[in-house]
Amino acid sequence: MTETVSDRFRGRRIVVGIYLAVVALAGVFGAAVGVLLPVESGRDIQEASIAGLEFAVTPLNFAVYGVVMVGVGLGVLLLAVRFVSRFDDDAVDGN
Amino acid sequence: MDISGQIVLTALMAVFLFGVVLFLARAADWRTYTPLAGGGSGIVSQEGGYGHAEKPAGIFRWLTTVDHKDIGILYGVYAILAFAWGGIAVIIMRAELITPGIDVTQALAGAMGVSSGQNLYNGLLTSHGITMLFLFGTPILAAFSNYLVPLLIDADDMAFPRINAIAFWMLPPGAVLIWAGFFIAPFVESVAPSMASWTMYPPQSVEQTATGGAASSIAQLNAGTDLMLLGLHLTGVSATMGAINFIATIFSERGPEVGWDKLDIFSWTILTQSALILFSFPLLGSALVMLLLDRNFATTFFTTDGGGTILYQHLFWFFGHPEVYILVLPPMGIISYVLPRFAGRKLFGFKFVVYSTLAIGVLSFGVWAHHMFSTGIDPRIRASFMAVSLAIAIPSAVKTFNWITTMWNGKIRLTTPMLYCIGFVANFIIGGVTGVFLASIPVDFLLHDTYYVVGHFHYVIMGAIAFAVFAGVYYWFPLVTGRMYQVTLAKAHFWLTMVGTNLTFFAMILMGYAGMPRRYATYNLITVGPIDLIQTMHVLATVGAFILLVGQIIWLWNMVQSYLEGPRVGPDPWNLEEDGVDSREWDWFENRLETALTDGGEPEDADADA
Ligand code: HEM
Ligand SMILES: [Cu+2]
Repeated sequence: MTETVSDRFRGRRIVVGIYLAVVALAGVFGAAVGVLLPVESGRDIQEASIAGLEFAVTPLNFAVYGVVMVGVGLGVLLLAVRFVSRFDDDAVDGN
Repeated sequence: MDISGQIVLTALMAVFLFGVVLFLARAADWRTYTPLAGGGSGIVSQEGGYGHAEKPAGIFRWLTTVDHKDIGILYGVYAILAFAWGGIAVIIMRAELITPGIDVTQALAGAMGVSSGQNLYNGLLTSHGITMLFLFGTPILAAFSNYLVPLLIDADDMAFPRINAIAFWMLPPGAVLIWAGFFIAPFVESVAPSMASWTMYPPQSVEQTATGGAASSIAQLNAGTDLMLLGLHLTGVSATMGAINFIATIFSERGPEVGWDKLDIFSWTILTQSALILFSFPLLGSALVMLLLDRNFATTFFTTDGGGTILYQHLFWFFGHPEVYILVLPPMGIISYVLPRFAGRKLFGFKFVVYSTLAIGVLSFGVWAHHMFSTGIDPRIRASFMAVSLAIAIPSAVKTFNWITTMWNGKIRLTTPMLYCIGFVANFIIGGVTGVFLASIPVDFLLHDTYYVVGHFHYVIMGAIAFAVFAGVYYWFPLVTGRMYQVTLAKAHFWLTMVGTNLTFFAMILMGYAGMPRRYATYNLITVGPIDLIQTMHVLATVGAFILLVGQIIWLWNMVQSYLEGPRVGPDPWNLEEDGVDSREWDWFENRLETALTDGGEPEDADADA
């Protein structure tokens, strides 16, 4: 068997798929950090604040934080990719 | 047994070994490596094409070869053996860390001639780091560059084929010296595996004895460390010779059609990497010699009344940071080379990828002190190193951006090499972003010397560099062996490696947040976090490591089995021509297949399953 996979996926579907997977993962990681911080002895962090916004350190809050941060951060990057790809002379995707 | 008995036994052993050597050398049908589909029946392969018409059969072929392709294969086999050594070391360490106390290494220590479990752990840690960086990382990249660069630039061979061979043959003695502590420890009480860690910081590395404590005036220094330093020096000389050879080759051996504008992206990264090696490895060599002198001849380069321990750190990291880019640039080249092939198009922004490679090469010499933020160096110096460290993230981001855009406007085939390319990009982003956080001084104060740092650089080294290596191995496997690997096993290998990597190293990042310091065999005495939580994460990391182990065993099996019995491939195993993305090395391959056929290969073999 040779590995001449003939299924072809449109690149942007794959990229967007990876983006969604990463954002979801960021949620999981955020939740993990949310579990971790309050029980860490010596530091005992119960509250966090970003830009004046105070919130309790819970798994849910941190999951939201992870999703929003990574979602926006990588989202901006993705928009930039979309914009720059208009100037891509070698594009083969067809639209 | 009395002395004469032992002498007789030794003589018998010598005769026996001599017999083995004779046998290996004579064995007429020693399986001769045939780099392509034809033959393989034990005759000397049809080395048509150029340069190396006649090669002796059997083991002598490998001992005497100056052919860049053979040397590439030697580097590859060597690196895989080292990968196994480093892997086994870390598996023992991960097993130790399942529980807070000392157990696994304690049980092994006696048999291995080491005074305590902790000392064995430290020896394994040192060996793992040095082996993976110097005996696996650099050589596996040299495997690719030796095999491919002359093909890609249309050269007959390397500029200095014999120096190429010498550079390789310095590595095996280097490895033996680096690992020597383990071999000698069971027999000699005052020798143990070196416990200096890969950074070998004085004063500890200068004073440590085999039992682990600082030297009293009579305690004997551990010769395991001296041997390791000598071996390391040898590998450094080897890398430098190789680098000079690549620079000369790429500058002066390019074929008539390969102008600078036609130079492929992989060769660009090898050229830049070689320049980094040339400027940084001699410095490591000097620092190692000074360390050896301090240890054995009472010089005071790095003692407090001499140059001081900070001097060592400056010298070491002036080498050490470029070293991480020495390891990452060629993998980036592999990704830039392979990823577009399975997106069915050219790399987006080729020029910018080259420029960012050169920029990384230059900037990587200006960031070393970010490894020394917590040593109390001048705050103004610290701030400037922080700035450059943040700046170096930009060219890396440019590359990432270009890879993603290449995929965005492409039609993607999810072959195993492509999966590894995508995995590379994902893991490299995590590794890079965690690095940028460390480069900010206040964050580094919190996280320095915790597992966070270990998580950071393993995302890059395992998650990215090793992934690119696997992408390259799978992509060029048909080129080197003329055969195809087993696809199902390859996919299993990918998914196990992806899951194992992220499980292991993400658990480490979390552990770092919880304050778990790095480089300890036990954590029953730490005061930072609740032990059961830390233990949970250690267990997760260990589970991940075992998943990785299973994946790599599958990979090894797949490589060996497919090399021996895999189906033979035709001239374009990846269907690159369909998308118009074929390249020089596959043209060479096609050419070789054809010459092999007219030279009396077995045609029915060659296109049986193509
Ligand atoms: C993308 C930009 C990167 C930045 C800004 C960065 C930054 C840092 C910083 C500041 C540290 C010091 C942490 C400490 O000891 O407290 C560090 C450690 C480390 N980094 Fe990176 N890094 C980056 C990429 C890489 C890459 C590509 C590699 C590997 C190829 C790498 C390998 C390492 C290693 C091995 C260490 C540990 C050194 C030790 O033993 O203490 N880093 N990194
Ligand atoms: Cu660094």
